[in-house]
Amino acid sequence: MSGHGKMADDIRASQTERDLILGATDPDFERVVRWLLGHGHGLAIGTEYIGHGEDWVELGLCQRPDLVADPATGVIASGPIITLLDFATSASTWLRRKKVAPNATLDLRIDYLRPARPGAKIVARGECYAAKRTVSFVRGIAHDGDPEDPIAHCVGTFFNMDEKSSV
Amino acid sequence: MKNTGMPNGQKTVDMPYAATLGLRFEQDADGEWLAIMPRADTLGGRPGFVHGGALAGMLECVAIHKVQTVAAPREGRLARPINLSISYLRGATHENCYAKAEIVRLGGRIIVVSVRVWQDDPQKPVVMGQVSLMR
Repeated sequence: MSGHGKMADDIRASQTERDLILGATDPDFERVVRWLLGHGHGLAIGTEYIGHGEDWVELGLCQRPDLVADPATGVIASGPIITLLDFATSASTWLRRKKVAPNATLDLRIDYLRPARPGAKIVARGECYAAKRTVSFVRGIAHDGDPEDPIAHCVGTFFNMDEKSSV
Repeated sequence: MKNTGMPNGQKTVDMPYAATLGLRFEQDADGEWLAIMPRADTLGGRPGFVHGGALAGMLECVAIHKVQTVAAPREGRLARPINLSISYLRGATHENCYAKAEIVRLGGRIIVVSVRVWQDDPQKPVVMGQVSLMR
């Protein structure tokens, strides 16, 4: 990261961290998602923001040699695909709930339909189809170019941690 | 670190993604495998916690490794996950993660593996999951 505008970056980053820890009812959604993708594990595997709608988020990932499962096939491991789906479905709960708030994955089930085409960009689309007071329900797909021919499907649930006191 | 000496004369499993996670495998005196994913900034998710995706990735790699220790690979290829069901039981803080795997069913093509991941207390798993793999 360049030094130019670093102080402004720091202020924005700390605001985003506060939003993530304390919650925010009127968040700059794209800023929060981009911040998450640009830190920690999201940064390490090279995740990127593509777009979002009322209850969905789309994220991307470029295949790299260090993300391969089996060097004999050169196919990307499923772990980075789950990570992308976990990110996208988690963020989709904020959209549906119209606020950014800490949440925790309760469970996730992934079905792998086929291996990704080596080299193709991976796209994950996560959707929150129901958000109840304590739990948000999500589903998602990952594809490598054609959403009609997915490489993986997932369903899962997230615990809305800002509602902890009501459990 | 002992990470060679797999059954059937196999070498340790070569998975670039597992290396990206920092994952390593050690064998105890009884020959049982323990997976270790040392704490690293590159595994972080929401502030203060390990990313759920990194934990899921660890779980899958541990399942694939487990299959390699009990069954010869087909056509020189690693087993491929078909599906994965994972429960997140506790937030995983920025500490080392440990995992052990158990074979639930060993079939000719389909293998089911259960994996448990913990941090400081083996009796308090942070993640448990079941992986079905094809070989």
